[in-house]
Amino acid sequence: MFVWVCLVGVATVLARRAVFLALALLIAVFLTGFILGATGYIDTIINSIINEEVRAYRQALTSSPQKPPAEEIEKLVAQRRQELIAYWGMDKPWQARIIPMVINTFILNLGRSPSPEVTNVAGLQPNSLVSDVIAACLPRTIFMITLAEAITILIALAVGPFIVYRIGSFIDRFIVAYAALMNAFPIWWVALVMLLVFSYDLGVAPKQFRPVVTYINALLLGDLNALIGVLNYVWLPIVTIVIVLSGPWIYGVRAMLIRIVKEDFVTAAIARGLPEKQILRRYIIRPAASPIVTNVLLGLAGTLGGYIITESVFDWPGMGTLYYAAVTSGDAQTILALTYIFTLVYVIARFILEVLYIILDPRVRL
Amino acid sequence: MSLLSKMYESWSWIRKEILSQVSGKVAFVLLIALIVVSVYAAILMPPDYAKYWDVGSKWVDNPYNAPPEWASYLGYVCVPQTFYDLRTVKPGVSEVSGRVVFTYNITYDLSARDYPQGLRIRANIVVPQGVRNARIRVDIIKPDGARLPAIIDTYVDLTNTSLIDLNLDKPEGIVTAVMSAYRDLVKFLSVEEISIFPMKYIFGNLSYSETLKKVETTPLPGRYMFVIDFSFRVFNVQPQEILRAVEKSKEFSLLIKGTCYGLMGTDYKGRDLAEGLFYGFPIALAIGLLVALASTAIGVVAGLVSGYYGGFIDELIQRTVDVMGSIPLLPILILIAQSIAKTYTGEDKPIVMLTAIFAVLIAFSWGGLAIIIRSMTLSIKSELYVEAAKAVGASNLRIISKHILPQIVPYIAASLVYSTPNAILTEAGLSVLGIRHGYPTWGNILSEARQNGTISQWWWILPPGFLIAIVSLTFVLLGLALEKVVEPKLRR
Repeated sequence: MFVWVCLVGVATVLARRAVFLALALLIAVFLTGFILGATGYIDTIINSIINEEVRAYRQALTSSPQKPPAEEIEKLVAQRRQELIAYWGMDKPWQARIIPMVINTFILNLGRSPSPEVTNVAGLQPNSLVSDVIAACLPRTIFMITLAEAITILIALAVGPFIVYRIGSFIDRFIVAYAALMNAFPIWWVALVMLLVFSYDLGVAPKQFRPVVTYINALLLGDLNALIGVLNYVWLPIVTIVIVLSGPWIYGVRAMLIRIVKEDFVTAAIARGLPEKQILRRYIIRPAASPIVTNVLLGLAGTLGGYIITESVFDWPGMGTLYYAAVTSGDAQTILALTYIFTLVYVIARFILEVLYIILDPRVRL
Repeated sequence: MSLLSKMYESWSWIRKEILSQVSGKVAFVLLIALIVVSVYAAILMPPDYAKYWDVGSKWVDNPYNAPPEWASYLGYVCVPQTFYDLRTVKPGVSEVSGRVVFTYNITYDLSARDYPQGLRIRANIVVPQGVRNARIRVDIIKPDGARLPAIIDTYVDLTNTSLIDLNLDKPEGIVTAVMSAYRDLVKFLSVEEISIFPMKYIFGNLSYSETLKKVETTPLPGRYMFVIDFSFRVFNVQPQEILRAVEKSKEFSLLIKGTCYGLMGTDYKGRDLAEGLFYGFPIALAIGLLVALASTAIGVVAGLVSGYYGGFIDELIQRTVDVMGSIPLLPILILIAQSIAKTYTGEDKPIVMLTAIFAVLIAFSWGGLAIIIRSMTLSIKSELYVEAAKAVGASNLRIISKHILPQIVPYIAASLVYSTPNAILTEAGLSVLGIRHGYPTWGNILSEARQNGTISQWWWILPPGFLIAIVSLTFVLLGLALEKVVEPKLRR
């Protein structure tokens, strides 16, 4: 009976969280649609598309062998313009264009990308499906950003417990100083410097990173020989990210562990003369698990959106570059789809965490 | 008064705590230096600096893409910028049939093995009545003995203007001058090549290369002689009068553009990077502090209201924070900034864009502090002394200001310190992406380096990044010191 009451309680808590996370998702995508519409950005883009098509049509008419008379051309052109305005829905207010797009995004009917810049990042033909474009870019971000973040996390989890017993030692001070320094340097600037040194000065790293696409595609098809090619491109960005992020990550893990090391029960365990390893495993890692898992999961989830600025510096054809290409070319379809996916991944990670807290922390479970 | 004194007490305790740590001391020194430089730059900054930086005709005298002068110690071949004030030079004066001729012989020693970037004569002379025009002709005698006749030979009408501005790298004159100076090479010389790099032919050693089947140039160090003739067409004017006018003129100079410039070098427009970086200080600090102050203020108020009053408003604020926390900030920020950049056409576009960036940064960064302040308020509210104060009839305002605010001062300080570098880094990141508002910020200089320079121009890429890093390091260190105030467990 008691178990049932608990389960119902847990289910209510989770359901409540789920509702608010879904609300956040809804707001994020609607906000994006609102920005696109209310600033007139979408209209500027659509107008230029219409103007371009009308110009091409007029060109075709005037250069055709049976050239119609001038007033006939004007009439045809005006008619074509009206058709296009109706086709793009420019005769209605912006809400009428954006809201169906937002709703379609929610039901994962992502449509096609009209922007050649966007499809070019993916390496696909113009007017490809947005879902194909995203599917092409996601593995590239995983191979670079997510991998780099995972390596950083592993380093932090290995070094953190090591220094937590040596607080105040030289190595601890060094790591704190390093973390402070790396917190101050933006990753994208370190990326510029790494390019300057390794690609241009020493010539040991590639200058163009777009060709990595061929190797990643081959690797995804199961050709393990392509791994060398991928590594050849990926090492510099990964080293850059690990150098910058490992500082704050180690510092963060250290801070979480210190809070627990200062607790009375740890002092008591030390006083009882328990071996260091056992104290670490039973008395420190266990209570520190939930904040650490939170950071790891949210960190990894965040990488799937790509680091927009860093990817752009390396011209790495991943999710970040894709988003930026979509924004600069005003491709509403792709912008909405990406915002939706970025937020969805984050929201799912948050929900998984809610479930994990219940499993990890007995106090929440009861 | 008592609130102020309590806050001050709390603040002086924080300051003591911060200064007792190494990171706090370093941060304090850096912060003071930053503030001094920023205030100094803000006072010196000309009004309308954004425009002046972007289009200013001031930069025409500077070499472009030039590394700093000290780069010569790093092995760069540096031709220094050389400036001759012709007002102080005594010309040879002669008179021929209605013309007064001033001849200036200027010697120029080129010691570096590189070509100067350009030559320019500029004058602003109010000539006496009766001077009609000036014919300006420049000959150059090279160290190898060759004389380049009339690399420029032009007339300037002086009846209406006092300004003379001559670029001596006009290809036409140079092509004929080179052709006539090197008669033996004439059939191998290419007009196009001379027109593209005229300076190579003025300051170079010319030789015919059998393998390339064309004339090659190598830098020719040594003593050059510039023979500059100013021939004034006059009507009843004595040479002395003109000479006096020249000596009193605002400007009369010959400039030989070098290949290195100043403390920090120049960019592709010849803009002095040292100046841009200097004026970037107050802008960076203003961006950081403004966002930090506003978001902290909102966070404190929201947290206090949420924790103290509870109920519906608490629920509303907490859920808002929750939802905002799940929306990805950077993509939204990029989208808004880009949308405005593409659609807004007004004169005040830089201000509008910056305001929008500020607004988004502020809207997304108060949530964390609000949650902390709320939980602090909740726990303080249930303390006995607050209950007692309530029982004797203290007002809400009095309880908040006397009992709650002084205790949350360290958190307010920490929040200020943490959000300042975030705003600076985000603004710089946006600029680097290419979304520019127009002010010469450090991020803007970096973004121009990415768009118009090559990545190997280190003097253009490294300093802005270092400055951004130093400013954020100041606040990171301050935060590190504050962390121990806020979180006593981190103390040893």
